[in-house]
Amino acid sequence: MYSRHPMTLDRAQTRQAASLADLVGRHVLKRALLRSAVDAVDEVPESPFSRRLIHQATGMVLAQLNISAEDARLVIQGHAFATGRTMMQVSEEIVSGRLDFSADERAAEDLR
Amino acid sequence: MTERQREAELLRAFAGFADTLVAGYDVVDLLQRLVDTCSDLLEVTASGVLLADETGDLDLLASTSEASRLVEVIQLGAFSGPCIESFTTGQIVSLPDIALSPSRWDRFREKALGQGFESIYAIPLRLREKTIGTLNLLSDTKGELPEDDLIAAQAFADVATIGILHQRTLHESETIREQLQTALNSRITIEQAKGVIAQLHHVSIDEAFTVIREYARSHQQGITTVADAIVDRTLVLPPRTAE
Repeated sequence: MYSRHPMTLDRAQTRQAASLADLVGRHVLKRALLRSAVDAVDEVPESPFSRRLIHQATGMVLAQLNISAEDARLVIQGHAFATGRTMMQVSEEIVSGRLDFSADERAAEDLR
Repeated sequence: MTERQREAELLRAFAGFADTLVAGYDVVDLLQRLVDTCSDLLEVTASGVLLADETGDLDLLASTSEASRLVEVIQLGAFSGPCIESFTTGQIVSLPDIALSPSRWDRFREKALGQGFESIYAIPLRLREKTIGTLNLLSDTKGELPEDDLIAAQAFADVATIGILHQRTLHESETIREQLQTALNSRITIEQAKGVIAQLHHVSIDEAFTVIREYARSHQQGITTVADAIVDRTLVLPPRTAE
């Protein structure tokens, strides 16, 4: 965002801008994942067993980040894509406790 | 338990299920009770109900234990083993000695034997000519299931079928496909709720299920309703007090 005059956003404006950014980010991520899914046609389909694990991991992530189930699934999907692994592999790490997104969040806050 | 006592118990169990079907219920609760009853009254160690999704993949809807040892055995049987065989043929598939199962079921056989199971019976959940899933009974001893048990097991499988399909017809007009999806979706929510509880209560996924089930029971709510509220974060379960 740019402004012609020097200014600072007030609280409400910051909140609005942040939620707009959230919304845009989510759409971009969704679209990017959708596009990459089309490319990766030869990926092994999920077995019912891996599905159960992915749902459990989704539950853990939604509690870790305080977000909806839909967004949590997107986080797992995004992380899998970014690290070149399957959702099953990422979910295994989450359920076993090796991967914890709330730890990342805390670390990020410490840096601020 | 004498034969006569057991007959009385079976009768009581079926009367209980009939009551539930009339009164309205949570489908996962009903199936959970059903698999528990199978293990109590039939000569089996563990059991589970598999339901097919739209693509024909079988998903585990309820099992006597949520521990991965049982879940994985049934899921392998659903991938390539007696469970999927029963589902595709619509027939009872009995393996009185898992060690003698065909080589194409290698992964199932190894896992089942490794977990201490010696025999399995897969009973189709039938709806007219269609099969919608299977009821699977596992035992830690070899040998055929007595004929009486098999008859009772088929009746339990029919109760499961009615339970899955009847749940929503009371107040909504849904197609069979939608009804199956509704049942499968409650399982998704329960798995997610297990994840939430595991994260917030620092317990294992298996223990999380017990926490949810106990809460649902003591508050007389359906397990799916409780799971929904946990996932929405409208319900925060109190930490469990030491027993």
